[in-house]
Amino acid sequence: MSVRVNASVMRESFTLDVHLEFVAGQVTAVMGPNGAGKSTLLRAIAGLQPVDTGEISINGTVVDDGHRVLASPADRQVGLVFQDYALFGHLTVLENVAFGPRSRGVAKATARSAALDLLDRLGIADLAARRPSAISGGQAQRVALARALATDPTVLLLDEPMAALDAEARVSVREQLREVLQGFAGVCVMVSHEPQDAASLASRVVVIEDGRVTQDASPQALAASPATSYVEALMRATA
Amino acid sequence: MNTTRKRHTRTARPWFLLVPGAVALAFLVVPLIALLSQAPWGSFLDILSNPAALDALRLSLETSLIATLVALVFGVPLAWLLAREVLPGTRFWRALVLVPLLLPPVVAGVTLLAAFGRRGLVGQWLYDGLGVQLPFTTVGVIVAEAFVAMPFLIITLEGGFRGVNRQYEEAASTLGGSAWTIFRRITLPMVWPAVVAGTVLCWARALGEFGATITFAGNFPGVTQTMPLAVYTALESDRGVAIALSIVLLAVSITVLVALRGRYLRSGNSS
Repeated sequence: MSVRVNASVMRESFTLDVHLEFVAGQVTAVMGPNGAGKSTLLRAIAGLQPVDTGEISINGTVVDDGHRVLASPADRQVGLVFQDYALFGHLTVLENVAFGPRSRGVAKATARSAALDLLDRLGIADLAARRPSAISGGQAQRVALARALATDPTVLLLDEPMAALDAEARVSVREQLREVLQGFAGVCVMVSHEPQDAASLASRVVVIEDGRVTQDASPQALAASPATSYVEALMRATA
Repeated sequence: MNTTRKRHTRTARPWFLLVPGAVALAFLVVPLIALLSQAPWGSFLDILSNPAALDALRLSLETSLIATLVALVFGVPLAWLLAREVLPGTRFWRALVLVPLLLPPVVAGVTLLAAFGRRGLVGQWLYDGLGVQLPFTTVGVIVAEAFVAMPFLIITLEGGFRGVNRQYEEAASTLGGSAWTIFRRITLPMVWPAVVAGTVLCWARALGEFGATITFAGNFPGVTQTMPLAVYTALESDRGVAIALSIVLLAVSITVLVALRGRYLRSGNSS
């Protein structure tokens, strides 16, 4: 299982132009300044942002080649956790998590019991009947994760999974996220701007600056020999 | 302390807003009170149980509900298309959609005759080819009501669709939702207040339709004479009947207002 991105995407303020391969069982953190193209990369993999040139393939199948092929997000087996979670406010927590399987034709009762199992695994089964407006940020993050995992994706994409959390919630969510990611067999790409998150969750860090990859290394190597002044400043800020 | 309090009271209720505001309020309320005070309460039920009145009421309810249904079936998709700017020249189409809203209803009736009359642009084809005649029929009433009322539904819903954060639809699509699933289970529930508000506004407009109906469909009791037309006709012979029928329509308006309690009407554009 792998995701291969050899593509460029033109946006108003920058052009994302990257050549990357992400493999199963490895968590990759994508770091970089705001507006460098990190989220655009995730959206391109998920199928929410068509590429302009080049191609993206998932498990050897081309899902976007810039002109003729453009697989819909539904056909890519990706799970995406949005930065602000994007939980459906008119559905309960359980219905949110069951939405994916239901959309893919799983029977209602089956989808619901699977969703409940997943919530239980994340320790939030007691929230099943609540609306997203009635749970905390840390809980919402877990629900968003459960919802993304419910469709059993090959590729799990996390867009700044902890950016919206306060410091306290961040510690416990990070711990739980690490457990979940360790048990995840597929490809995982996580956008982050927190070196701590990257160091504790990822085994590989890709730095994107102004649409291009400026460093691609392990968290340790990144700290030991930063390739750019941005990485250097980032590492100094954490130390 | 005392002076600031005085000054605060004065700015909170300035006379130059208070007086004309009170006049406006009286202007809007007095006719309603007058209508109720002049009603023939003694013979109210007799008037309403008159077959002609019942026919008009039944016809009004039937045509306005069908017109609203038609507006929903075709107007919801158009509102979506306009909100998402799918069509080229969206601004132009949106302006055109608003025309029936601002057009004098009689003129709307004339345009409908030009389009669907027996010698109209579409009408001659309908009549010669299919033997279908719309003017001066009950279906013609529905056409007139839908034409005038549908823009209310469309503009209310368009605002609703515009207000939807696209991220929810994107999330649903990554979860495997088809376009239909996303529309039905995510988008539509998120704009539900706008759907309710738009439907009610559309229905209320259809129920009160007069000008386009009398121009395009005529004023035939039992066939095209809806409540507003019956009120107008009764006014020439028996004021009491006209007032009684008017009170029924007023009661419907107030019921709608109370049922919505301002909640849906307000959130229509912001949700």
